[in-house]
Amino acid sequence: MGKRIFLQLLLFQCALGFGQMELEFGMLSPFESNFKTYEKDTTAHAVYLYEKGENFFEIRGNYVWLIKKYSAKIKVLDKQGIAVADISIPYYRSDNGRETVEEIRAITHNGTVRTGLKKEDVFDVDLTERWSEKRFTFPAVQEGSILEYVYEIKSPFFFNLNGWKFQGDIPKVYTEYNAKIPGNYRYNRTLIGELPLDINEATIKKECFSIPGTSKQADCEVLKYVMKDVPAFKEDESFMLSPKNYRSSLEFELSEHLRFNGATDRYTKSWKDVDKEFKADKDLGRQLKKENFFERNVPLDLIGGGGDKLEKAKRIHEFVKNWFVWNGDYGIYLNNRVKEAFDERKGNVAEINITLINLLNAAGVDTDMMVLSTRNNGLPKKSHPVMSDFNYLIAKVDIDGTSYLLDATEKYLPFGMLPYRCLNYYGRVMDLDGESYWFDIVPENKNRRAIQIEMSLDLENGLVTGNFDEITTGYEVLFKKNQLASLTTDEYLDELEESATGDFSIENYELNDEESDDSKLVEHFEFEMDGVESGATIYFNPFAIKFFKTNPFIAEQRFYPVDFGYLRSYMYYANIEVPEGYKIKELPETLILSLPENSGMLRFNCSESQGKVMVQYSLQLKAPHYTSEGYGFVKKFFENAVNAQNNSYLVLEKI
Amino acid sequence: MRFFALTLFFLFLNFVHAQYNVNSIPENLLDGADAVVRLDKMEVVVSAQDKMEIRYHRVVTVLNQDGDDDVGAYAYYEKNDKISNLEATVYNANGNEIKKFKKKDFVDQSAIGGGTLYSDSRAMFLRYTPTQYPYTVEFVKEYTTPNTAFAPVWNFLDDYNVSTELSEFSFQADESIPFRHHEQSFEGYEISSSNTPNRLQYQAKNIKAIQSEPLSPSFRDFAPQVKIGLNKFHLEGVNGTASNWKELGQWIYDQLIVDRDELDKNTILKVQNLVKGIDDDFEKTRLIYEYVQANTRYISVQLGIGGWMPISAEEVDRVKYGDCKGLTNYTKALLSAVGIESYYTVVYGDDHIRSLDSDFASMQGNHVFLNVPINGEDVWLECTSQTVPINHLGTFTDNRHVLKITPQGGELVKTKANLDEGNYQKTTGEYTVFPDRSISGKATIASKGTQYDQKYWLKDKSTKEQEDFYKRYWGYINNLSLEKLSFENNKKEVEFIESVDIKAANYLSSANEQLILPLNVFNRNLSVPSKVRNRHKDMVISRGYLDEDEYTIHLPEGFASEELPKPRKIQNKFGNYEVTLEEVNKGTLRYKRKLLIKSGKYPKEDYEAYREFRKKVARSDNAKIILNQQL
Repeated sequence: MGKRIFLQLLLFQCALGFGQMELEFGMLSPFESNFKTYEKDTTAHAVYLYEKGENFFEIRGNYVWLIKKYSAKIKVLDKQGIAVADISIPYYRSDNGRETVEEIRAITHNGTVRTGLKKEDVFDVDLTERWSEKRFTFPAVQEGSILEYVYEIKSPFFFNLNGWKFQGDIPKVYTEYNAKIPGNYRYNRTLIGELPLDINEATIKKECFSIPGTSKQADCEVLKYVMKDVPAFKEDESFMLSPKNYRSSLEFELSEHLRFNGATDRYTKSWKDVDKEFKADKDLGRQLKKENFFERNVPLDLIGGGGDKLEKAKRIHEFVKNWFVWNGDYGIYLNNRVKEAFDERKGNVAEINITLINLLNAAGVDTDMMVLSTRNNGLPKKSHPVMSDFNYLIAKVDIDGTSYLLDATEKYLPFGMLPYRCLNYYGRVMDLDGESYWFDIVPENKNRRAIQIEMSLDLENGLVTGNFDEITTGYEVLFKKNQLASLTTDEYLDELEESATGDFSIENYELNDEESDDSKLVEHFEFEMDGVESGATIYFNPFAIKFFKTNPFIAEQRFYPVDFGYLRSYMYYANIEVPEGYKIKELPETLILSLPENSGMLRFNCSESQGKVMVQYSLQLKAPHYTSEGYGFVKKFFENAVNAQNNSYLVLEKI
Repeated sequence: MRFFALTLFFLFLNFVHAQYNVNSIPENLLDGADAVVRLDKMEVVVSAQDKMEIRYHRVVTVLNQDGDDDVGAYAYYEKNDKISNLEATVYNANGNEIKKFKKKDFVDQSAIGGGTLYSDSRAMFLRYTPTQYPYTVEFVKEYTTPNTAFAPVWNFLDDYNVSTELSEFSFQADESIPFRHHEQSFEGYEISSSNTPNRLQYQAKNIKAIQSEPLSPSFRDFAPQVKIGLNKFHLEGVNGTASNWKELGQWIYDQLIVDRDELDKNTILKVQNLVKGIDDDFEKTRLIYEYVQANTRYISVQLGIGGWMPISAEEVDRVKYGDCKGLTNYTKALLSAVGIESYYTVVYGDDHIRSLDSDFASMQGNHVFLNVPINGEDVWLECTSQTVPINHLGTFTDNRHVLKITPQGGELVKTKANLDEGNYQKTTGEYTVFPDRSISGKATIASKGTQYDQKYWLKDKSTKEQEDFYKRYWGYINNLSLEKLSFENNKKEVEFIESVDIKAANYLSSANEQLILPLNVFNRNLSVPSKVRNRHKDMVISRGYLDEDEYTIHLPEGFASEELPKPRKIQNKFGNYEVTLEEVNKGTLRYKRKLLIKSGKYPKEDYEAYREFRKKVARSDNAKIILNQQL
């Protein structure tokens, strides 16, 4: 009798306590068991019915741990959705401690039949020196299964209280994040993405946290954030900035920790604090003060030699580029060993560019370090300092009122130009003598491929023969040089031949060294092409080289802005001799098209003069960034640009 | 005298430094090479049935970036392997030492391939970023393994674009352990050997790099190789004896397969009910196979002997997943529950046809599937796929020798080939041309054989993936928009039917009053194999195909074609190509096309002629007609 009453009470409490049904592990709510289709997105293969995370601090075995609990229920809607059954839970370790993943439990619900995950079917995989993961897959998964799992990560790293990803690759009906943070830990918070929070609650719970042996009790901030019906995040669009900029999430960054003994550990609070810490940081700030070491180890006249500041700066940039091989890592926060890297002639971004900054300063060129975030890494937040947003560093040089941004990781980067990965709008200059400040990254704006071509038609053999000069500038040079460096000339020509339409073969190739320099490349080609058929009328496509074979924008709808990184232009000028015995019957119509606000221009026209046809084609992108609303224009613009090259014909007829 | 001694000393010093000098590489080994294997030396000693010691010494000079992958400084290992020594030294072009790596400097990580949930295999590898080219890496590895079932296979040549200066291989086994060996593709190479019953020794010098060529035979079919098989061996705790395929199959059956097919009573009842009232064995097999496909999925977990032994049918029945072994064994168990006998079968699953070596039995293959003999014919089941129809062998398992594991031992059989005409695609289309230069139309594409393989999975993809497929397939139609897509997978006939409605703005070009119409909207075959300047290898087309097309074309009102192109017909040993265009009535044309490519092996001299053929096909598939406005 007594037992029954107790049970009822418990159930009653459950229903009372939570708006969203909080159920024991292994139980489904009527809503969940009856869920059949997701009307809001009928293309979804699976959907989160429920997802919840709870982060809090707890004392276990005399240590304070960050506990991150996770639970989820995922409905498999169709066969393809079964892929969500493979779960991996990454966790981290460092020299100072390691996280553990505890209490993994998983159940597959098929109607009322439940199949549990066995302990021995959870695997542990080490991914890198610092990351491992737990892996498992749900048993007995079918279309319609509900996959439920929970786990807990016990972490000694308080900076790993880092927020919540509301939006995932599949939609979510309900996703909730809770954190209970004692008042002596402070975190900065940022909500990213367009979606609003459905619940956004913060309350204070009195005296909720204490450390054994101390009398003080801390109050806690109890946070609850909920989003409902979160659409799937669509990734994979060409020419875009990092998806991180758009995916709905809440980011936390540890800013300070007030100890019970009154001391404060500051992490990030204001830029002022950051600046102060930065100057003392052994991996970054202090590495900038190694001028003596470098002075002793580089050729004397590198620093001491003649020339004005700009010449010196260029000389040093050239030297560092050639001295180092970049190992492919960025590593701006971990284990930077500038001296060792210098000796080995090999290092990460930080080591190489810190060397550059040191040498420039040693030579009396005013240089600061600028930290930035690469395109893949997302835009850094401007609202407050979030140091973990930055993953790259470069040199900012000021000479006679002009600023230059330098990176020495790539051999073919000209002075003042940053690699494509760095073209992410702005960075923060860490001025050692003053305060740090934001600085815009303005990409090189003359990035051009220009082709000048002469062709004649050899009707007897069905061939087109000719030659052309290709002049490349800006970023296009960088890509070409990297390509040329990694391929033999034959391979390079093979690739060009493959990318051309029809049977195109390059008979002769020359790189014009005299006219080429850091920011310009002049190449000369002689070619032969198959496929002209003689007859009463000849239709001839005047584009031997096509800049785009197909439209890079094929999706009907675009979710995020188009970002090219830098301005681009493509020019094609052709002179075509009209073969003997023929005259021009018809030339393609002139085409002039522009993008709104003069942000792009396409021109194509053909004319005849003295037995020759002149073809002029130019495609210019005058803005690096187009909003997703403007996508329709960009798509249409490229459609026309590609179409003009693929489907234009000169019509010649026999006299 | 003193002078002489000094000179000697000096020379000696110089020699030590210079042994890996790049200048000492014979000129002809640099031709077309990304890397030169200066020394590749392995000594293998089998001292007991479950003990094999391997000493490996390798020196590679990398000439450029593409050669970085040829360094080969890694060691895969299993739980019971013991690596006693691992070290690497890097030298610069002059042969001077730059850096040394000890065992602890190697990165040690799980070696889990894509598509595998978990495996206990691990790898230690060198992480080194070269600062200059060329550079040389000397690598030493010594380890012991109990798994003598995998006696080494020795390759005298690594890969394309790698030459070998000196390759030495020796193999020795205790008298109590007899072994067999097999030399393959030695012709044309200078390989010396001195073999005794207990010891093999090979040496090869100065093997030039080979360039990869399109449509050439597989590298493994012409590169020299020695294979070894022990007649008494050991694998993850299990001993074995075998000297031919029959015995090896027997061992696999007795040690790895037998008794793993027990099933829960309820499951047995369930499948027996499933086939109740059906007499035809093929039909029963189909129902069971489809039951497996509907209820299980492929998940790979490889632990110890589990890399070769299937997880039990009972466990697969519970978790509803397994790897190829687990799912094959499970299907076999279910079939047995309804009275149909079937055989677990080992194969090399690979889109390039690869057979188990018919004259040499050893642990080979990388995949298993199921053989069901019904009325004297082999029926094949690919148990890892949830969609492939019964008895359809795709490019992954067709036309090759496989090993059937029966209770009476192994039996080598050949799977059926996908013949040329059997790889068939029929496209029936209709499109209308509009005066605004756009077209709209529909196509129905029916595919069989390997062409079925290339598409049947489309049905289960998202709309976006399906659209992307057609935007690539018809990449030559610039402003393609897909109006309607529907699919039918006729598993019984193994035929996949696509129905697609399309529109394309600006499909035609115009020149004043004329419109230029590229005729072949739905199936242009534009790929021409690339030019090879000086071909060395014969040409192989491993699978042929046949495409037939028929389109009805409606011209815009008031337009007509000046003159219709004449029929075109090309016939040669590689296949044939035919195109005709006829006027059905005023304003309506019919375009017919046929392309047959025949499989076969052709001498290298034929390559250029084949290219010429494909060029003509490409050109003709791009052919256009001119439409004039009628006044």
